[in-house]
Amino acid sequence: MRRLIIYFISATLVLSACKSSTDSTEDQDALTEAKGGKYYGGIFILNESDYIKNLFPHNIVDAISYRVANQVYEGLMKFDQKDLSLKTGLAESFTVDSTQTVYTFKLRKGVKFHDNKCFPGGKGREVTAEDVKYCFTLLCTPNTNNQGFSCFDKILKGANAYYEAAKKGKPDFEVEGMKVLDKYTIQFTLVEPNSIFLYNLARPFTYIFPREAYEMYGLEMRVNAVGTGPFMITDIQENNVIVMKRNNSYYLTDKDGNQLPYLNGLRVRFLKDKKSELLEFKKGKLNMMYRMPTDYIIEIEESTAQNKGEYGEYELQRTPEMATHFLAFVHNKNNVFSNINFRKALSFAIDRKKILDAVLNGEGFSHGIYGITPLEAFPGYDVKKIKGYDFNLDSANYYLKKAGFKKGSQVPKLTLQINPDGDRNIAVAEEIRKQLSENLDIKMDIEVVTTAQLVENTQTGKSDFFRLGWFADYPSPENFLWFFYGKNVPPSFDQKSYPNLTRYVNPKFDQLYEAGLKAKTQEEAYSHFLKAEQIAMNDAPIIVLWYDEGYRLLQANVRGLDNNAMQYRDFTSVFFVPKAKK
Amino acid sequence: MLQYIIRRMLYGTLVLLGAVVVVFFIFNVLPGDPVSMLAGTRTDVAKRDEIARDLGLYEPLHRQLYLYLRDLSPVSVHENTPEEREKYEYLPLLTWGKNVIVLKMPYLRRSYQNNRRVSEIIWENMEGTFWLALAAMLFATIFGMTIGIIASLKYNTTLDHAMVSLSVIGISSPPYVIGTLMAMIFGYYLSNITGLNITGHLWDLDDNGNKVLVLKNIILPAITLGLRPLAIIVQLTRSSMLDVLSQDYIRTARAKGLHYYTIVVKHALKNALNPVITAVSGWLASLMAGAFFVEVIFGWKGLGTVTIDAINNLDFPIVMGVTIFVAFSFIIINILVDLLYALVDPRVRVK
Repeated sequence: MRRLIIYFISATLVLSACKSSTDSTEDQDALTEAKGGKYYGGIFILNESDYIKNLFPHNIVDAISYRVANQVYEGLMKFDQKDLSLKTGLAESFTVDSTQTVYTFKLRKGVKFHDNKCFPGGKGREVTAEDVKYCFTLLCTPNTNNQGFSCFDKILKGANAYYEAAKKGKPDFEVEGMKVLDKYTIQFTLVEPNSIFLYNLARPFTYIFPREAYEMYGLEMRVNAVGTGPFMITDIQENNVIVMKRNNSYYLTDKDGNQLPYLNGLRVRFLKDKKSELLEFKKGKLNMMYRMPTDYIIEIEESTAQNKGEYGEYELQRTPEMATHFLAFVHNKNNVFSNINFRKALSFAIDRKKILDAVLNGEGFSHGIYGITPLEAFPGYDVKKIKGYDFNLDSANYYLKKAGFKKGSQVPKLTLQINPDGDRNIAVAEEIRKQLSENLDIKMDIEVVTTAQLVENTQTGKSDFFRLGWFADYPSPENFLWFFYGKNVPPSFDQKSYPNLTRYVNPKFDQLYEAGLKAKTQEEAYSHFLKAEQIAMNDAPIIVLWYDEGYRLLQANVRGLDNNAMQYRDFTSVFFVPKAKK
Repeated sequence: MLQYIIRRMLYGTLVLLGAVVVVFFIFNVLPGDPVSMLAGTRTDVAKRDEIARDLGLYEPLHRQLYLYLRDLSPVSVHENTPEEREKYEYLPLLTWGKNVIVLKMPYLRRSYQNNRRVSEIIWENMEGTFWLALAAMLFATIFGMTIGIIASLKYNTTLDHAMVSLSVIGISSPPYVIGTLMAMIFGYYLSNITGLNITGHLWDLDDNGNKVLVLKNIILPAITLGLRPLAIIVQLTRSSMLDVLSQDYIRTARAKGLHYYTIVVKHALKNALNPVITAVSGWLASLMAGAFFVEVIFGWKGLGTVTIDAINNLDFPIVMGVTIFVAFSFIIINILVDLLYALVDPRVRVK
């Protein structure tokens, strides 16, 4: 028996001696100095709480796939990581004619696709205007693997005709509004001026990929990504890790003449649990952590602000996020929420500040007393001009009477549907139940369902009253107002309504929204959008709760990773400094 | 014997069929629209129609059940078209007219979320769960038997009492509590000494994209998962040993003047282990299903994590596929255990 025990001890020792080199960010000592105080080398490790769905550009519909694909693929345009302004990507420059409908793009010369076995000899070839045309034509072709036609739908001339014709097989004509002028020049003609067309060219649907890859991989482009970006995917272990390495022939250099990117590679892990993620971050096994567990927020904030304590050595990045959390009603259904005065009564009866401070521990940018568009997320769009609803008991009681209820106890019991989201939503819902009961004596049930189930219930109108978080996928307030656009609402409840889950319809709103879309300049568009948003808010179609704030912790040796309102991540110019130089 | 095996197999097939039918109906009652999940949110009616038809959603329920059973059956009749061949990857046996009788791997359909084959997903993740269950069982068996034997030899001493009480705690503590504690203590606070991670999988990719084996990641989840069977094995071994040690032939052996440890190892243990071995082999199957929580806590990639994700996403083909797969493994392992038992123990005779 003793011998057996000895065997065991030695076996355990052998096991623990197999130390893997892959699980620590400490291996960043191999940094080499570059010009201008920058350093080459290192692997950046980050975590995503959900797994990617699909990396094929035309089928990228979730934020995680977007963030991963954005390191591999590029479109004609890009966003600036600092302020989300538009800048050129694969395009070197572009011009717009005086009618605001003809866009001419000059491509950069000498940009190569990643080396991949889909090319003859495995060497990536140069990107030309024909590639852009190929990808965009494919985007105008109906196909279960294509979710991105909305980018050109009623925007690009001839796109809809092509889309309709392609339903019956490959059309014998081309998309009218897309012309290759020479090897590096492509021209787009729009149906009418459109203020979001350029944004669409920076979205994942319009990433450029080579025809060879699509022909070779087809559906499997879900995990086989061939682009032009600063990093290329070397391998994917489903649900576990994605490893990317530096694209050695990337076309950009920094202002000191250093070849970009600085990093040797990226490693994306997929831990679900936020608390274990935080522990891994503290152990130095992640370089960045996005979104903290709510219970730790206050401690982290204080500790990083004073540069001491458990989190003192890390950098905390905070920025208002393009996301709004709110409660929504289903309109035009025979329910109590069809009564505008009742909606207003509820809107006035909720103390949003208390929710933000007491329930969320301040994890939010501001409480929601304006419109649906988040505060300070879009420069030039002043949401503060919009009059929303704040806690006011007198107004709440006034509107409740006006709605025909002498007292709150006469109101039929409400049911709020939520998804758990790490218990945060439950805590918020409990607080709302308490406030409604104390302030107006209205009773409410809370029904917790899975996220997928909630999405299903909201689209079909099975749920009358539900909680939502709305996140922008490109930096324009249009992305939020889209939520109220009445012409997207189907006539009957048998059909799904998306994105307008509330089925709110107001022709005046629709008119202004459309005017904003067609506007020639951003200022003009924004002024239409502001008016539209105020009109919608006057009807109290939703109860805005709070505007989000993005919290991100970085290890002290990370440089060049700016935070922004969209978690748009670009690792092109991120680098590490040696530990001693903190 | 052969007859017995065939009868058990037939019986097993019936159980499996029952499981499949129950699973099919449960998941058909549940809400959730596969079409929207497959199509995403920004799509048109024609495409939705196409997907719905592909999934057979316009057919009546009994026909859908038939289609599902046909998909699962290894031998079935299909139309002889290239699309069908690509969908099922079958081996044609006999063609007649437009139809063909084929041999194929059971087709568990595709995930609603990412359109991957469910069989591929199960195959990919089964490995993780299998190794975890096996490691847990090895740990539980070896330590459980050792502790059980020691406790029985030191019967009615403080050591014995301590071991028995500890094993009661082991039986009564749920794995997700133990798991969280283990991860915190050994993976975080003591990680400098133990060198263990809070989370991690058996396989990892190094920076050049090569697959590497990280054996140490199995230690904490295996111990967590094995703790409960360990406690049960301790109790089983102890009581069975006590039972055997009090029997006449042991006294005879002692009277012959045999060495104490020879008696314990050669004479007592052999007989005492029979019930333990049955329990152990039975547990292996249920551990594969029981690893779900443990996998989630330790970020271990196995059937458990995949299934729980699938439940959250209403990705029913995966949940159905895993349920049927686990039922299938249970049946196979149970048949094997019964056969083994019959072979090992001469007192059990098969009619």
